[in-house]
Amino acid sequence: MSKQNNGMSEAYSYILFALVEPLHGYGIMQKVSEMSFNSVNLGPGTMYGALTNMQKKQWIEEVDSDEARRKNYQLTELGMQVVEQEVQRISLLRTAAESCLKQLRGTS
Amino acid sequence: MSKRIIRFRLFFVWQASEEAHWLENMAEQGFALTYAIPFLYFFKQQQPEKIFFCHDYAAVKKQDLDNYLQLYRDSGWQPVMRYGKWFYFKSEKNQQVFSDKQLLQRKGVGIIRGFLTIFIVAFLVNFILLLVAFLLGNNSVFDTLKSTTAITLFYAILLAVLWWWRKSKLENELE
Repeated sequence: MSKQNNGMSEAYSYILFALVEPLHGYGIMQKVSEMSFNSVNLGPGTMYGALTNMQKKQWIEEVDSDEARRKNYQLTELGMQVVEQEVQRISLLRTAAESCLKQLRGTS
Repeated sequence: MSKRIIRFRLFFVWQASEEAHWLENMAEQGFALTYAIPFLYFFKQQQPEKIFFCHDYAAVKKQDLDNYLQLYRDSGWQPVMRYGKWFYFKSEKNQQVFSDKQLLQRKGVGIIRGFLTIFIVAFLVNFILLLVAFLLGNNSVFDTLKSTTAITLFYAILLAVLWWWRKSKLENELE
């Protein structure tokens, strides 16, 4: 795993963050739109590709759902570790961005 | 009996929206898409309608097909047809087709794989004929087949490397 999630796109991060509870594909799409205030909207093709990729990487797994047609997904142990790494990465990014802004405002 | 027509039309893999617009035009003229294979489109005449199309290229396992199609239905797209990894959908609403950056890459990997299969088959055929020529002791045919076998093997290996590289890139790029 280690550096594998470097350069993960916003969409992938949001998908991981949406999975605090088991959700089906369309549920994830809606939740990502909601969480990002409509700045990240996924189409079904992108969503399915992401789900397939993340399952291959074992970040998420299928869980039993009441509807046979809609599969539910949840985070795995590994997926939770990736979320933790993402939080670290994003907070580093935020610190750097804020310090940049502070210095720019301070010198102008 | 409703009229059925077949149209030959070439779209390149990056012309997804051109294809969609063409299918939408056909539907407006009263020809609804029933099936499509590479370069050939089958239509059935019916009431002209204003509908929208999109396609997807995805490796969907049999046990995951319902789940995949349901994801599209939930998003407002009705499945029209499937040809292998090609899926066509329609919708009454003009909904924004969100850009799927990886769609083009997926199609690219699929095409490389198609050529790879062709060259593997060509190599095997050449190789078998080479063995036959060898066993029959036909030297001039054997010499010709030796070079064609080598060439097809070379391209098969080249395509295999290319395919593996593009495929792993696609799986590791998280976009």
